[in-house]
Amino acid sequence: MKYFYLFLLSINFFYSADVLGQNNKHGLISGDFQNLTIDEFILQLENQTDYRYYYSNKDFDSIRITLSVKKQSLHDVLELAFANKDLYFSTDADNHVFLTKGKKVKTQLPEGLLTAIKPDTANRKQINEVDFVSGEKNDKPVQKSSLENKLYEVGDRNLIHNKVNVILDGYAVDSKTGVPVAGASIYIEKLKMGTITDQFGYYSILLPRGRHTLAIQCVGIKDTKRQVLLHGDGKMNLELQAQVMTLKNVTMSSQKTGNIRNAQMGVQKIDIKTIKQVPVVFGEADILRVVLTLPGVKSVGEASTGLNVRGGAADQNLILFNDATIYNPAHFFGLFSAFNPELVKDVELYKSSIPAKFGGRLSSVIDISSREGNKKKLSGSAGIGLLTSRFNLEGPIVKNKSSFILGARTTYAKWLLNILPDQYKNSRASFNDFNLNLNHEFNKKTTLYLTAYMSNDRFNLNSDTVYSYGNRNVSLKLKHIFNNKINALVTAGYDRYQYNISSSYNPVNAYQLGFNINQTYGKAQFNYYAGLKHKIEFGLNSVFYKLHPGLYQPIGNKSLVLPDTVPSEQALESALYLSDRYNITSTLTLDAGIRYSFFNYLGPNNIRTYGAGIPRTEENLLATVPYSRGEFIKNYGGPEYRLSMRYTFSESFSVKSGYNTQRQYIHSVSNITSMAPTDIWKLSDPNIKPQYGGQVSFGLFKNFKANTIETSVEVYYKKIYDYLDYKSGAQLIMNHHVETEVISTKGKAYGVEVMIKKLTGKINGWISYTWSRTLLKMDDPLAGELINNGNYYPANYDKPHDITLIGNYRVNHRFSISVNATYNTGRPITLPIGTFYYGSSLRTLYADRNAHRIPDYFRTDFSINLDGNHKVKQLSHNSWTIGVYNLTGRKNAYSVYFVSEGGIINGYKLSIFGSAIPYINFNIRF
Amino acid sequence: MKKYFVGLLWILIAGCKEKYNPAFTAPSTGYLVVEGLINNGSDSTIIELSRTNKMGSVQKQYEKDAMVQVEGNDNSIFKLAEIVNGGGATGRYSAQLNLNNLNQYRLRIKTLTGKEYLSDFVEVKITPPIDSISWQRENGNGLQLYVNTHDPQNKTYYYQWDYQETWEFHSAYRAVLKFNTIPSPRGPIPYLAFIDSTTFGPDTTIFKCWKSSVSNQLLLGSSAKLSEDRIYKPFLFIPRGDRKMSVLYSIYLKQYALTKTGYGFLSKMKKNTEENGTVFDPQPSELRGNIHCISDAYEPVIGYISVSSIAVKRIFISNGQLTNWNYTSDCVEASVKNNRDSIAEAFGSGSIPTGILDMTMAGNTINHFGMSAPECIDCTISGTNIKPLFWP
Repeated sequence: MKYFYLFLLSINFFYSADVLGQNNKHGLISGDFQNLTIDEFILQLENQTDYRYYYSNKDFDSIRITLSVKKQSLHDVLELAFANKDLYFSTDADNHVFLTKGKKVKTQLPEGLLTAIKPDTANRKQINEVDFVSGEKNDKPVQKSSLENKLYEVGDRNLIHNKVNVILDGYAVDSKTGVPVAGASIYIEKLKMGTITDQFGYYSILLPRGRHTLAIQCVGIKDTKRQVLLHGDGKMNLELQAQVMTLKNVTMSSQKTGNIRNAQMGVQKIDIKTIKQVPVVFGEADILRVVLTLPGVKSVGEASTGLNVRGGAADQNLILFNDATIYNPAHFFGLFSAFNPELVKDVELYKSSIPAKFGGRLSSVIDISSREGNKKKLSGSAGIGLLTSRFNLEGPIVKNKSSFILGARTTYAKWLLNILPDQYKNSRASFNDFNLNLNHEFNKKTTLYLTAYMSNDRFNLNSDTVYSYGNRNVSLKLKHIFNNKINALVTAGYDRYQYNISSSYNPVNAYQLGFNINQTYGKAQFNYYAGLKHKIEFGLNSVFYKLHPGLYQPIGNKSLVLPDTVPSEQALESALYLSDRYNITSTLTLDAGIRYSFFNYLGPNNIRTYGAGIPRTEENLLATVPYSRGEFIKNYGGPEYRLSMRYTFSESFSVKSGYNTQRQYIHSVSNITSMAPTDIWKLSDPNIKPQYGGQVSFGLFKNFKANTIETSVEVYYKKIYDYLDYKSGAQLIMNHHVETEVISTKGKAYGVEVMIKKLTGKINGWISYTWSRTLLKMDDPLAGELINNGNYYPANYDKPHDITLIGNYRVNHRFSISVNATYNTGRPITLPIGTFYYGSSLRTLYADRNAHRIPDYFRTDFSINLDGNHKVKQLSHNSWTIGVYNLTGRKNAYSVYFVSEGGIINGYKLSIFGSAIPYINFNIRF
Repeated sequence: MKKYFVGLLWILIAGCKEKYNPAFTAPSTGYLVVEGLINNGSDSTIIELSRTNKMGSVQKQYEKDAMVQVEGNDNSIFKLAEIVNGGGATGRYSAQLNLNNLNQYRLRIKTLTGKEYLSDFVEVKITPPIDSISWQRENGNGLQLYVNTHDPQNKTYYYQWDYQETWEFHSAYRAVLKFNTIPSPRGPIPYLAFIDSTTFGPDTTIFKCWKSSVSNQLLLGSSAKLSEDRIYKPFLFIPRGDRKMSVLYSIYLKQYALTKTGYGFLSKMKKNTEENGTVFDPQPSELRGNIHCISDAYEPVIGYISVSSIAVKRIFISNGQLTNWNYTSDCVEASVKNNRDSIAEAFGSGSIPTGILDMTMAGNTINHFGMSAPECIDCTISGTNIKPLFWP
């Protein structure tokens, strides 16, 4: 009631009410209103009617009105515009219209009151002059702000000081679950200043004293604003509401200008909600498949989750799950990504402006963050699909202080394989993955996070050879806020990737082969908010690698297999970095970073030396030099530059450019087109140089329709040096001298990426088009052989044209339809140049690597998402996903090949999914 | 529903493979292909020269009228003569060589057009004998054949094999009758007669036949990763019920020792031409052996010259050794009424008579004749009735 009273005061009008006017005698309204602000909307109405309108700007400033009407009365138009929303209107006899929020204004007052309330101009106090909360001292609990229209005061108003600028900091959390909201943008329109909450929901911003309106927005969170009056440094936690439903006719949106304002380029963030909407094969929400739909990201084919980002190889992506490096992000030999969608919060892809804190890979960083457990109540979910079932549970350990989240996913494809035809009887495939995240808040300044991840895969395809592989990751992270200007993150962890191949069919040759990578790492990062214009990040990373490149052993006592061990490799990769986001003017921002990385290849090991200036072959081996434990065998290192700059021409248009260099010291060596679980990884050593690459990029970013439509055009040019390619017919597994089988290659990649994105409204999604080329060149005379005579040839993943459409149509709150469509040029392949007879069979002759292409690729997928009712208070929430993958049933080629069978050559086209594949998925949340 | 799941997994595992012949232009190559080995044993050295051809062409282009010789690093020279048969030059060159196992040898080829090719010098490998060819029933009770060999000196490590299979098989039906016509003014009159009017017995020449085939897949093996130079390798699988095992089967296996690089060359060829089509295929690669064109170092030459002896082994497997082989021919014997029209219709269109199926009780009138497809009666359609020399 108090609010209502205040509210009444704030509205700038006089009472002189008489009769409620319902009939419209002032003309009908027509028009197509798209994302109008209240002012624009009222202007339209004023033009078409004789009414005068009264409303509080503050109450309506976050409202956008989208409406299409044709010759309708004002009453109907306003009903439509305000439907499902806490907005009301009243009219009086004098053609005044009162627009209000929360309560309806009574225009007809009791008789006696008519004269009692006399308009008093002195009392027409603006709401922003009303004090709601008094200033609080630092030792008091941090105030939580959850209301849009309340004015929050921060700092001690009585304290007199000369500081012009003060620091506001705090956490953004989900009001319902208490889970931090990362990546939320907090923006002060008037100052053109803003910040983004970090992965813990923490933000800190330096602002002039006085009153500000913070526009807060984040994917999955309802756009909102906070009124704040700053007296001095202080904390304010933002309690934000998750976006549960969308409104029918009124779309609320604050300025979605993140893409315009950020200095970084080539950064894409997708939240799990979007990921889950995209139809995928078998309905398994798949993070990497969705990343694949982004411009500039390609893969060699459907059976591979190896990503090729802007012409980079699959091993040039740093895939981070929380802080852990995932060496093999795929299940089921590449068909599914190894991340449980129920635990993932969002995924961020950096393909151009890679922040200085990341390093060690040449082409991209894919940063996948998992959710934090619900801190307020125990909840969970379970799902059943065709191939996997999943379960997760989350809840508080100490309420509001610590929480856990546990996720498990497993396949039950075994029984499916059992009913296969006889010749497939011997196939087996299974996988599972487990996640556990714990976090504990010791106090307001210190929080500890534990993340653990494990994945296992095991399969054999119609043969006696069994493949198994898995990731093991654990990390511990401590976050400490020293003060509102500086905070630190310290992380320590251990990552392992291992695979094992075994075969025991032939007792004489029964063997098992093991491979593993282990890395122990430590990271420390400091964020320093230095004044209004600088945000500085600095820190150091260190990784100790230990690789066991091959352990070959007999199985059974009949086996004659000679045990063989490729000696372990160890190295230390470290980096120091410093970066500064410098807001030079309100329109020009520079993000400059430098990272100095160094790499020490450590003993014990035996290093082979080869004659200088002659091909590295076994025949040219000069000597083998032993090094003892801990000895520095070879050091590499150098600076990496990370520069990006943004200039804003207007609220909705900016230009960005960037320059980046990277170094990579660990390489996947593979002669297989796709990324296979059995690819070996190799550290740089005296014979294998680190990869080095640089990229320049330039982009135009323009938003339309009140920032609901984002468009961008980015161009890039990239150079890669010392990329490892392999010699024809290379033997890479269990090779004691891999350097004789590989050749260093140069590469260049360039392209244009165009993207149109609409993430709000009933129809949302994006269209991306990429034109790009990736060319490699092998003209190293030391390699002993030249590929394609030392000329540039297209890389395996060079697919010049690529168009992707991701669309979602929300019919209502419980029913939505998703469609995606993809077209790209077929990938290059090597086709025979002729035939010959040998060994009583006609055979194919190959030359000219990648001179031809497989047929172009086209696929459409479709899915329907059905949600149960949205009542908040019920035992469980159910949802169904029904869809069809490859709706047109097109037999997209994965490869085209020729094989000699029975003395003649037959040509074949291999498709991974050669028909429309329907699927159904059931999820339950409790 | 069950069927649907099967289909689903089928797609998943096997993918979807279909015959496909992309239209693309390939240059005309015509590179020299050299096949064969320099034999340091008692057998002849046979070198076969041919040319690579355009995609789609299946005709083998022999390189005829070339000069081929083996040269030792002791400056010895052995000329190979082109084998000439009824059709003239064959592109196959042969000689009986007497080599010194301590020397190294190479091959020199001069083509009719004057281009000269030379191989690297290659060490002489001695092929150890084949210990045995063993077999066992497995995988749906088919017959899996294994080669067992070892080199007590642990010097061979790299092996290649090829084989010739020969099997005896019998026609499904014996024919005692033959079809014939007598010309007449009203057209030919069909009739059946005994083949042998004295014994009334069957035509023995078309009942028992032999057939041969050679391996057309490269068979390679290595013991390089084993603690001793021993090979136990499955090399041929014959599915249960195959006609090869219906009477008597024989396999003649040849074993060659290879150098490490020779083995590498052939395994590369095998990967390129026989082992592609999986999801994790290596890229096909250029194939370069140890033979080079002297005048043009960049001209590709297909082939790898090895110097080795040949070890051979032959075994026989009779149907009696195999329980439940369950060979059944697809042949059926149909009956034909004994009248002119039925006979004309049945045997005028290619079927062959077998014998008399039934007669009247008195035994003087034939009711029905038997008939079957020609390949069910005449084994020479698919094989030869000339008994091989080695056949028992």
